[in-house]
Amino acid sequence: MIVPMAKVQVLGPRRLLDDTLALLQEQGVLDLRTPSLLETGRSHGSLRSVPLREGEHAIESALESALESIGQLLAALPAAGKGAELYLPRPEDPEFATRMAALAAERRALEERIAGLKDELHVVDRYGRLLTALAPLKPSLPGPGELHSVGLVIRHDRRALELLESELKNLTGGNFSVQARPAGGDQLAVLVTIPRQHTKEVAALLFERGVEEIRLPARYSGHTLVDALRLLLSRERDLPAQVASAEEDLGRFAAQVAPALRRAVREAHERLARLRALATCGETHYAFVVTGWLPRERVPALEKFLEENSGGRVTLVAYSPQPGEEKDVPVVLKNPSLLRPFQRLLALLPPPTYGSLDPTPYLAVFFPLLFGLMLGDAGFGLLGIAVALAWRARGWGGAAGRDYATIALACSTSALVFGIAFGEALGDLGASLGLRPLLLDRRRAVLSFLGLAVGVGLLHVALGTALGAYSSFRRRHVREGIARSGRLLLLGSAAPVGLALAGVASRATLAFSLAAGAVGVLLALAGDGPMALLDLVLSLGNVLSYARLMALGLASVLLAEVANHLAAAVHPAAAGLALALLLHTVNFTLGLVSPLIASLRLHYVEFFEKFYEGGGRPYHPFALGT
Amino acid sequence: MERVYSAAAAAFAIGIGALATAWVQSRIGTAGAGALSEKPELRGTVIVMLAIPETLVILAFVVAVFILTGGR
Repeated sequence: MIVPMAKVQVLGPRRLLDDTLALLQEQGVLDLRTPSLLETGRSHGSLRSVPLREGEHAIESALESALESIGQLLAALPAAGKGAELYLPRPEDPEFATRMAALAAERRALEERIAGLKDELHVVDRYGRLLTALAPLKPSLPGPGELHSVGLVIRHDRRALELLESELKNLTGGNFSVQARPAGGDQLAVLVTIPRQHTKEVAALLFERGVEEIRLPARYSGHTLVDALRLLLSRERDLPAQVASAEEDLGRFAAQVAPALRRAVREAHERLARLRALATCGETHYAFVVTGWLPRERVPALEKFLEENSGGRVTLVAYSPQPGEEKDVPVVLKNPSLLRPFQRLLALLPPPTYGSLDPTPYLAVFFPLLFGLMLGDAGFGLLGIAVALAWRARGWGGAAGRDYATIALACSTSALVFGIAFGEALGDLGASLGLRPLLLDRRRAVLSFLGLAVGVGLLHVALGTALGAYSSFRRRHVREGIARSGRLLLLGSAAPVGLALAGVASRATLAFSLAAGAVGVLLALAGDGPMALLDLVLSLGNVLSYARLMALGLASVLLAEVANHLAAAVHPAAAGLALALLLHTVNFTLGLVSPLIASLRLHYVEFFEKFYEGGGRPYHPFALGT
Repeated sequence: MERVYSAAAAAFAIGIGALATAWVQSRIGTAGAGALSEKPELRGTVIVMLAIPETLVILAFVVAVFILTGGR
């Protein structure tokens, strides 16, 4: 059912507005609205919208930039467990930005430390054998000049080395030395020593020739190549432990900082929500008014809470929704726990308008019924029940998963019941196990199955039309109610007419039903005018649309039968069994998806069209943590 | 021979119905995808729109069944 709502006005002295908003946010039941007087722009004395003051603008900007900086830092932190939560000032405090900058700098330093250590490790990993080969060499020059050494990796090829020496001779005028040692495989580790003033030309030459130069991490820039290599080798054993330790430090940092940041995000959002809520409030020189909607049953509790926490200075006035306000009233659905999961099936549609009917109870009955009528297989039903029970027991998907598992359980049970009624278990395999049709044999009595499907459709559409007529009269839309009653009468007379034409009912029944149908047409014309004729034809079209129950059901049973026959024809038996399993799995998957979509479609298009009034407003209470 | 004609008629009935449904659904699907990229909240309406022409092929199937069974 749709929960009855109340419109409330919370009134109090202007200076208590901020505190009152905080109390309302704590209670989290009021869906805020701008007072209608402010919305319409009519003359309303000294009542005006509450503007943000200068200080509040500054707080809003501070909160927005705090959220941005928190987002950046949180995104850069690794996932970590829980640690002792760090103290942070409130996000709107000026000190918060300073603290955030310090935390960001701390994170950067930790990241840089890890990156530096990984660079070293990378060099050791990549050039391990080369470093060992180069380490004993001593750089020297035949002539004068400050020494500069370059480590190279080249192929173990005499001509390549000679070519390098000849190029270096041209560049340095012969003032260089090249020392080479085998580094395993076909590689040669080469130590080139040149005067420092030729560094750039030699680097350009190596780059041009595609010679791989050993590059060392930035922290070794003060050392000569050979010293740096020795130092690196000496650190080789310690590096993995140092990387792990640095990563642990970063993880500890994240574990301390992340929860505090998340709390700050929550606080910032809540404070921002309160600031933005001010725009929906009205004020005079001395008083404020906050307007909104909440479930009627929650009004006394909110009234008492406000009175107790404001010392009786804030008061609450509640009103019932007025005619014409239906589109503004937020909609809350409340159903018994067995039916509640089926509210999920309404998620694809806008909520029903306040004051109209909640379709959940009808959905909970007919959705599994139509599903079962289409799948109608005891084997698939049992399999579905097992999957749904396992789903519920494992708690997959949280609360939503539990609801969907309940829907799956209801649908599978319905498929099991109809499977027994049709004498089917994995198609015609049930017959060989002694299962006999109790209601009808879908494979042979195709027309009877069609009659059953259309009959169920007639019942479903008639129920929708009856609900529509009830809803119209309840809301005093008399002409619409009369038209819907006429359509209902016509639908109601269709069944006995059909039975009489099939020779099941008497001629008197036929005459009476035709007369009732004619009255129905007249009522529809009286209520809706000539357009009623089109509606009547569409209603019959709606009923015929339920023929899909037969079409999909027949397809399901025939696919299962094909699987059984194919499997029986294959030799050896094990291969046939495997094929049967595969085909039944495919059929089971199809058997879940097609009836699900068809059943939803029959509800959305044929059933809801008769009474469902969408366009309701979802309920978004002003609350903490939203 | 009569059985061959019946089977061909049933095949035409459901084949043409299926082609018509596919064509209409392709048009609605294209328009629906465009609408959803602009207004994701229309997904319910789009699904309903997409499901409407299915009735064509279902009715064609019923006609085919009647042709094959002779309504008995």
